[in-house]
Amino acid sequence: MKIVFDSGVLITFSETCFLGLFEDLKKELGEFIITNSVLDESVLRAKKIMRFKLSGIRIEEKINFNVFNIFKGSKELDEVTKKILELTNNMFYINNRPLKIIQLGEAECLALLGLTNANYLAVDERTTRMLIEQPHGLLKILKRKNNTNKISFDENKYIKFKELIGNVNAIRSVDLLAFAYKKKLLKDLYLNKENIKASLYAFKFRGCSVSFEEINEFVDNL
Amino acid sequence: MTNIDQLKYIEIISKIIDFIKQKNSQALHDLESIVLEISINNDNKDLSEICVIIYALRKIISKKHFINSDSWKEYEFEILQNLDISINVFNELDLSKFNNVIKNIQLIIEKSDKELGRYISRILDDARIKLASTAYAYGLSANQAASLFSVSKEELMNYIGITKMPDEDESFKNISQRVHLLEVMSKNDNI
Repeated sequence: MKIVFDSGVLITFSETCFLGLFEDLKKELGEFIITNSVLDESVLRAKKIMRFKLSGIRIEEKINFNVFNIFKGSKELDEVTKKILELTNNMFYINNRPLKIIQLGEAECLALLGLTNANYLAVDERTTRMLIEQPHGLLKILKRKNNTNKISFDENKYIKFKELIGNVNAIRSVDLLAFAYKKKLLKDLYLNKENIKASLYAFKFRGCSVSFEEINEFVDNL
Repeated sequence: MTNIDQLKYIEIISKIIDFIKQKNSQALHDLESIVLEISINNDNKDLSEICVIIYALRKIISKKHFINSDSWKEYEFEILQNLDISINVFNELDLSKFNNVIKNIQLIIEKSDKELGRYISRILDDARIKLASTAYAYGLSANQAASLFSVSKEELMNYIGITKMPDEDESFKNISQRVHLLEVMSKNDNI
């Protein structure tokens, strides 16, 4: 199996001191891939800002130990990324103007999914995940938030977008941690219900798109 | 830039001037919502910077310890003066000069906050992160929202994590469902 990682998931694991888990997760799941943009964001740029430097150093160590493979970049990646940007940033229209919803970094991760025949995108932020899983849910959010009725969605562009990324799923940091729990990859300390709950909450507080209800439901059923 | 866009900018700045003079923080708040939506829907960084100013100013004029101080009167004069200059500069269609004036206004606000503010966190930084989180709530990706308001994605995600946003979204697949699918797929992979 192949999983492409967005920077957000790496940073969440790093800041909660769960980065070491990726070595065991990799043995269970397969190949973990990142783009140069994710490397740049989570390591190179992070190391230039004291506030995020430690996180950058930790992630860099995992990359150096080949836990994550860096997709070096290619003309093909650039072309598919450009196509994805054109499609996604012209998929939703507000007052007859296209809405720019994602940037280069996210588009590159999405492009890599199709190019590497990956199975999953590991992503914590909501919009990219919803583009893969729930574009009509994203449309609902846009309609709820905007003070206009003129909001539309181009289904044809969405079909072309799906063709480029392939048949993939999205996974969040909380899902990976919960998977690790189920597979008993965590230290004994985290096999306790309250402690795994605390860990999942910690991921949520770092911006992972998950509700308290979801976490509580998972823990209650353990 | 079209004439309509030009008019919009001038209208917005004129309203900021009026509302500051009236000390009307609610009106500034309403204006901020409108400008924010336009900047999000048009990926307009110039308007996002103006939004940051509106946010900061409405916070300032709602604080008695700010507006009652003698120092504030001088800062207010400078801000209003620069807002007037921005309209003139905008009429000359010199966008880079306009952006410099906007940056200058932000510097004056920063200076006033440093002198009169009671908190370590800076009003402009607060403005950026809160506006970026609203942009994310509107449906922009974290990178796009962060870029529009010049904040880091990490800071934005940490802030979003302490809001109710993730709890207000409809769940598509819950943790158990995603874990189950992952287990099935990894098993199939190993067969």
